[in-house]
Amino acid sequence: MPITFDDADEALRHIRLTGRLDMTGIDAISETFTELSVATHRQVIVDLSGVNFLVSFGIRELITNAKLIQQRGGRMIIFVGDNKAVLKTLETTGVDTLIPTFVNAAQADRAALE
Amino acid sequence: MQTLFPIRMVELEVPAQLSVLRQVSAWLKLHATEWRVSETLIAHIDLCLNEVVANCVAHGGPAVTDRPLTLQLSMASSHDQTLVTLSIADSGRAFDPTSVAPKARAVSLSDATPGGLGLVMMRDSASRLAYRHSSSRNHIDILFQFDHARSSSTARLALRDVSAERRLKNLSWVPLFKDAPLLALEAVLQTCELLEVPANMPLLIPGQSNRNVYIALSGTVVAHLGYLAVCMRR
Repeated sequence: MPITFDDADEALRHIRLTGRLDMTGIDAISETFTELSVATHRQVIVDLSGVNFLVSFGIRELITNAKLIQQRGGRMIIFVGDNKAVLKTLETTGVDTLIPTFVNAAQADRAALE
Repeated sequence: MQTLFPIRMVELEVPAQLSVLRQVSAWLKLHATEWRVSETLIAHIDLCLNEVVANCVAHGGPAVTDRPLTLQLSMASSHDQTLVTLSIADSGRAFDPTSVAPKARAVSLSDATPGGLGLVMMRDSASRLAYRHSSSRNHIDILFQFDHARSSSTARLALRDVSAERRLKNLSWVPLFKDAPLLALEAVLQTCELLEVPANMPLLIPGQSNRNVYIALSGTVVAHLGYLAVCMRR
């Protein structure tokens, strides 16, 4: 599955996206991604460490869902791990300044629970 | 000595539909891998390919489907640089991506508006974008230029070619160095590379920037200036 999730507790949800997030890949996960993002959990960590290709429509999905979470009083955090290509894309587009982005999983968890 | 490539080119026509994106990415990867383009550079080209095709299909209007998209991938190398060009032609609404000002960065998530980031990503990935509109078609050329690393085998070649090295040490015959202090020249020459260029190998190709001075120690150099070819022998 290119999208999976697990709930750490009632407040925190991890959503993991994997594979190729081109238009076809985004179409496949878009609806589920939004449903998982706006569920009852207030904090959502989106794990992009397993994404090997990311186009601008994928960035658009991240921003749109981060805004939806924010409107519900929550916050999206991005975890990239050692995925330098995705980190570079987030930095180039300035998304890392809008959505807190971490390379360390423990730091991402701490930031989500602050 | 590093592997040198002649000019290569492939072309593909596909319907102007989003469903072709994976097909065109596979086409790109097949040829670029065969041409030994690095995976990193292929990812950059693939990103631009996806962004341009998705953008023209989504925003090109009804006319975009009148004719197929034409994709052209070409590569040319000199001994120290490679230039890969991806050209895409479509029949959609005229749109010049080079005339669009960079999107201002949002200062907060609340202010952020999705969209407009594809061009930001393309400008970051490519060396240069060029656009023209002709015959009711948008033509976008996306250029990727990169320098080759100097290989240790080149250094070994320089050591073997003793006669050329001797000529290099005595450059009094080069007009450019007339009256230059020999000690200063020797210091500069310590950093120079001695190249053995195969027959018909371009030193410079159209569109390529150059930061080198080449001095022909032996052989023939031909400069093509439009229709005029100037031949120099040493």
